[in-house]
Amino acid sequence: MEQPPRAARVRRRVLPYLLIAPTVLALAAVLGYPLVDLVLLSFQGMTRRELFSGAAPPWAGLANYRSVLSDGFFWTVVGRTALFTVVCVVATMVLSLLVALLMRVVARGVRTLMTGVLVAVWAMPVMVAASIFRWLSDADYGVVNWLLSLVPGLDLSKHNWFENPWQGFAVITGVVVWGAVPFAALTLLAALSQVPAELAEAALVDGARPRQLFRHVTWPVIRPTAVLVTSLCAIWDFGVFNQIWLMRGGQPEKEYYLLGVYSFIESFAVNRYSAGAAIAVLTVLMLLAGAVVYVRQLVHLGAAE
Amino acid sequence: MAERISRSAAGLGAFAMLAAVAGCGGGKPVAAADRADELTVWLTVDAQESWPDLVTEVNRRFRQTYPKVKVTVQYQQWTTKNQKIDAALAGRDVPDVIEMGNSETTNYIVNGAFTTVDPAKYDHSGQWLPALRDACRYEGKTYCVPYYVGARVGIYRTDLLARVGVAGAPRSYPELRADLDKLKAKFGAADKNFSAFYMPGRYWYAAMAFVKDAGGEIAVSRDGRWHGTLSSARSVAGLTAWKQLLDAYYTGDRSKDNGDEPAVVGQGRVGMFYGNTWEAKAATDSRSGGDPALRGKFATFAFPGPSGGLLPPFLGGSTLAIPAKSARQDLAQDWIRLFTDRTSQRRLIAADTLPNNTAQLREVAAGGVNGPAARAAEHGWVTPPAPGWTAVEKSNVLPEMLQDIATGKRSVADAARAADRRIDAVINEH
Amino acid sequence: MTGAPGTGAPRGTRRRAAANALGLLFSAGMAFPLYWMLLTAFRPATEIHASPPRLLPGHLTLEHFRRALGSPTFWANVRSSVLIGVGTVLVSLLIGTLAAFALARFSFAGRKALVLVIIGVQMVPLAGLIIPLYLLLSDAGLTDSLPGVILTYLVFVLPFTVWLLRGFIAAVPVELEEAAMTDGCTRLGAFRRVVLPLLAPGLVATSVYALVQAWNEYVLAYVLLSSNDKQTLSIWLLSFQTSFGTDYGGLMAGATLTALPVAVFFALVQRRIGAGLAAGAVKG
Repeated sequence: MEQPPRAARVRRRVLPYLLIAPTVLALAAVLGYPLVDLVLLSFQGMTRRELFSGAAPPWAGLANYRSVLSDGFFWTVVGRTALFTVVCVVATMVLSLLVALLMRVVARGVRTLMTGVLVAVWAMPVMVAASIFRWLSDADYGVVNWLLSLVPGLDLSKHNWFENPWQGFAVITGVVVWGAVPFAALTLLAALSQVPAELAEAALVDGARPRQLFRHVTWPVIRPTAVLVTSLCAIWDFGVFNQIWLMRGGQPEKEYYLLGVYSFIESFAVNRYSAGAAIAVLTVLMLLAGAVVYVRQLVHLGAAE
Repeated sequence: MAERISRSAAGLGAFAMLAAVAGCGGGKPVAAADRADELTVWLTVDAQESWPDLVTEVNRRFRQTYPKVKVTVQYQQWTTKNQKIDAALAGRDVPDVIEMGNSETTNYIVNGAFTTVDPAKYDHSGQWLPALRDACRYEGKTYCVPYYVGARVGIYRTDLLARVGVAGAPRSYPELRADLDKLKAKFGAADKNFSAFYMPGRYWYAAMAFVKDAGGEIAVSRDGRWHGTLSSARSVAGLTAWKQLLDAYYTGDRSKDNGDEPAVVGQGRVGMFYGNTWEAKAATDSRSGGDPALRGKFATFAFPGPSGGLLPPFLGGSTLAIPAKSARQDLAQDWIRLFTDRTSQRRLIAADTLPNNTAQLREVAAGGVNGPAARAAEHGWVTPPAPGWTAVEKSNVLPEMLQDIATGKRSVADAARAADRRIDAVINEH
Repeated sequence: MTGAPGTGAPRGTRRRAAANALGLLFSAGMAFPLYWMLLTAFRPATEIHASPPRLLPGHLTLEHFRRALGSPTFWANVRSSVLIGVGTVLVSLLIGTLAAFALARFSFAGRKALVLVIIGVQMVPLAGLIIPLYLLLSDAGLTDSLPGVILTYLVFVLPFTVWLLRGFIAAVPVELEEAAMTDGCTRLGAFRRVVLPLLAPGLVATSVYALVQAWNEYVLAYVLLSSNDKQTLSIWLLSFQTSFGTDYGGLMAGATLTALPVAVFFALVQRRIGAGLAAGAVKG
């Protein structure tokens, strides 16, 4: 090496920063400024007047937070969002893991079919998925009602799935899980292929049961991937907006508000931009708090190997 | 507060006028023919779907005066346009002309989004329909120009009514119910999905017409503040009449709005419904789920209300406004002038839409499909011109109340009281 | 085939058959909504709203596709979608790989903070950012322009891109790189010759992710792009929901057309992901 070691050291120190510079710049420019704006907004009393004229909105201090936090409805929405997230994430992960494991043992033709279906579903835009499910669960023309009515003793013709929010959320969970399974299952499948075949065979030869095999051999290998996918799903489901918005035809009833929808409605329907911003900020804070375990694990995972 | 608003609005208006004066007579005389510029117009999709030739024609006429101005018309969806408009109005590059529903304008005007216009420059401005004129007025000034209006009427299947031995449209409410009873008896018995009268639970424009018919109001202004009045005795009476009609003749899903009406009617299992004239056409258009085989089997009639008069229809219409931030307000005014003048309005009438003024309302052929709508329009009503009305509409207070009533989840009085509370919470907010 | 001790052939076969049956059942369940979409897209309008619904295709028609393809802005919207999709994918791969390399191979001050930011960014609800973002792009003169949208999408896909690629890079043994460096390569040279080829499956997976995000997003695109002919296919689909009612036939035909390119792309690269991962597994 002809390079003087000092210069090399400097370059080594500077190099990582050069590498991350474009990413950091892009994030700071396009996301940093709006984020600061959002946080500021949540401490102001922005109305359409200021929005349209560009004048500085009056300072509101903590008033927005106080009114949001003291509103019982907000906490209902928080609880509902948390429950929804847990149900969706658990359903997605369990189903995806089973599917990924299943794909390892089925015949090649079946595996190709399953991959094809997963890929096709993955390619579906959310908007399309929501329209299809809305159409399937339509009270008057929906095929779901008709199919279920074929079961003897069950008459679901004209049954409206969205009248009872529990049932409505069941349908929405269906769309969300349906849309999330391909990503999760295919990612887990990729992780499963990293399980050394010799190791699995050796374990089986040693008389390990399938369950033990999974716990001691398979799981440790796919765990990082599973953690990553779980946390991503949790983040996405917590902020879910499109599915609900589209399934309720752009007019969700109050029973269907989750935090993402609530924040949107406050901002754009009721024009309380600042209250909407406060809800958005609180959402992020709660996610951070709730995900602190995962975040710590991920940060740890991200530490140089 | 109100004073401050009006002053700044007046300031904006004066500024716009100065700009216009400067453009016309003052410093730099730029002939219209030499003016090179771009004009951006946001219309809703109705123009694209129902009267595209009007847009082409107006742009052609506009080019005769301003050959070097490029006009770009962009079409927006009703359901999603406002969040886009909000963002655009906050930014720098605003469109120069925006189409606004007449129940949406007040909030934007109050918040200084639009510039003033001089009514004298527009055809028939003295006879603009009150429903549209009032939506454009705020504290004595005019901020937008009426474009068109629609009024709901009764629409019935001529063939089905003939089969139960009824020759013409009902002229009174008892007659209407008698006809519906016959339809229900004949077709409802064979098909449990047959609705003699189509009236989905969240269809608030229809339900509110019954409130108005009974002498009720959605909200009234007292001492400068608005209050929801759906739980007043009269409003409750109107809602109850609506519920009775629905209970008796509607078999479909009660928690829907009329979004899939063309499909439902197109299935042939509806005897009568209440809607805009063009909705009969939509029911025969396969694009909206209708059935082309039903073409020619619909007729319209002025819908009689329970009170004995005509059911007062909601006058849903559009106006055209010029954002205060637009840099081409004079061009925008000229374009709107052409788009709403006598000739253009005549084209709208030809496309089965009602014009923006009472004078031309008389040009609508009384015997034509839109005749009953023109008649009904004279008794029409609009949503309360309150600053927070858009918020009421967008937070779905009315559809949710109606759904509760229609499905029997709550009594009429309970649901109305709850709705009033929700209305009171937002209707005065700017 | 792993013949576990004590597993007789018939039992293994039966298990295999059960697994296959389960796989088929799952495929059928997942695919049903797709089937219904296609069926709706291909059947005449009058049959779409038939009640009771007909499960099997009767008459088939191309009228909905004809209408969808005939809509005035369709091809312009395809162009926008493709440009935005490809642009987002390429730029995010390029700058994402650099950052991922830094995260996987270097320890430097601020590294943890960056990881935190990358995770935290994904938690911000989009709704709150619409207006601030619009104003920012408006000040930069980037509203109603495709680069503006690409830049926006970039920010939303970058965190995951960086994260995913970091994992792939970390999986490549450092020794390989070190060997290349002792052969006279610089650090970046070693990266280009050794890591990058092994990164192919990661790049494919990342581009799949970025493409889906860019192709399917519509809220931001709707607000940011005002010209009808600059809008993306996802927004174009909105035009089937009119005040005349929802044109389900047209919507589902449009949806099929919208999803088709992505599905084809996936089908093409899916093999590569599999092959690449298998190769990686041998090395691992």
